[in-house]
Amino acid sequence: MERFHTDGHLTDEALAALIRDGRPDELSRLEIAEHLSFCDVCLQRYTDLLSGTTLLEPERSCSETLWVRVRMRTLRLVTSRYATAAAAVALALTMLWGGEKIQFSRPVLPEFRPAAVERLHSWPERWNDALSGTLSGVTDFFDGLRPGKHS
Amino acid sequence: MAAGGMTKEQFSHLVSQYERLVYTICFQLVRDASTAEDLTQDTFLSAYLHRDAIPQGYERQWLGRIAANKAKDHLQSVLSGDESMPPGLAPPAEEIALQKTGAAAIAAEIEALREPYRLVCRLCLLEEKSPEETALALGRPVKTVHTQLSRGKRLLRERLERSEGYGTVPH
Repeated sequence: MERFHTDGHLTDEALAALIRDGRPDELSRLEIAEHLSFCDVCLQRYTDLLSGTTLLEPERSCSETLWVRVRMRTLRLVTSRYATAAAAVALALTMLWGGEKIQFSRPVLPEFRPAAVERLHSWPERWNDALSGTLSGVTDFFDGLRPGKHS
Repeated sequence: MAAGGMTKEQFSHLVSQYERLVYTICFQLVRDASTAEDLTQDTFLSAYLHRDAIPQGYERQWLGRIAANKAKDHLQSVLSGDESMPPGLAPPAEEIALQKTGAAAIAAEIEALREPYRLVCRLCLLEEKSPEETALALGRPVKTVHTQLSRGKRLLRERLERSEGYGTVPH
């Protein structure tokens, strides 16, 4: 049985098999469902054919459970939105009120350490003193070796 | 014209008016009473969430389309997992076969495919159109073209494997 015409539309046989429980296999039913999901013409033909048949009745009507699901969904959406809004408000208040107490540490630069700066600035002077002391010691040693010094 | 601002009472009336039709569509497509009941409820839930878009005077068509979509999604999930495989990732059976048997043989096999795969495979594989271009040319959703192309390639591979001279390992 051909389910599709060459132009891509469903054949009457395919729709009839679907309605009369002609047992089309799962893939065939998927192909038909796929086509009905976008083709206005075939959907119209199908629903017109259905209107001439006895429609099936579900064991459980969905009207009651439908509203329960609608309420649950609405509740979930609302609680989700409120939770997000509450979190945003809490964060904003924390930033606003707790901002003064928040200390941001930054590294202390050498110019903010007076002792270290003073020590650094006096280093050439101390170097000169040490060098002078050493040189004077050496000079004194060689002066002591002179012959005139012993006489 | 959309039936914007439909009240709960009006929507309840719509449910009682079309519940059997929607259930029948779902049942005839999935062939399982319990699943059909679930899909019926899903259909009306989707319809309620988009009730502002219900076209006045075309409620039957609109609900029928949602029901067909729900059934399609269910059947896709039931059938093998590679339904939504993008064509680029599908096994390149036709490319391999092209090297072995030639373009003419492939074209013949594509033309022998049944609908709704023949047109999709012809446009995508022979005329090298993109799925988007094919969808536009055939008036089908892009996603549907992707799944039909994927299934069409599988059917093509099966045909090629059955055909003489393909898939045999030379000794």
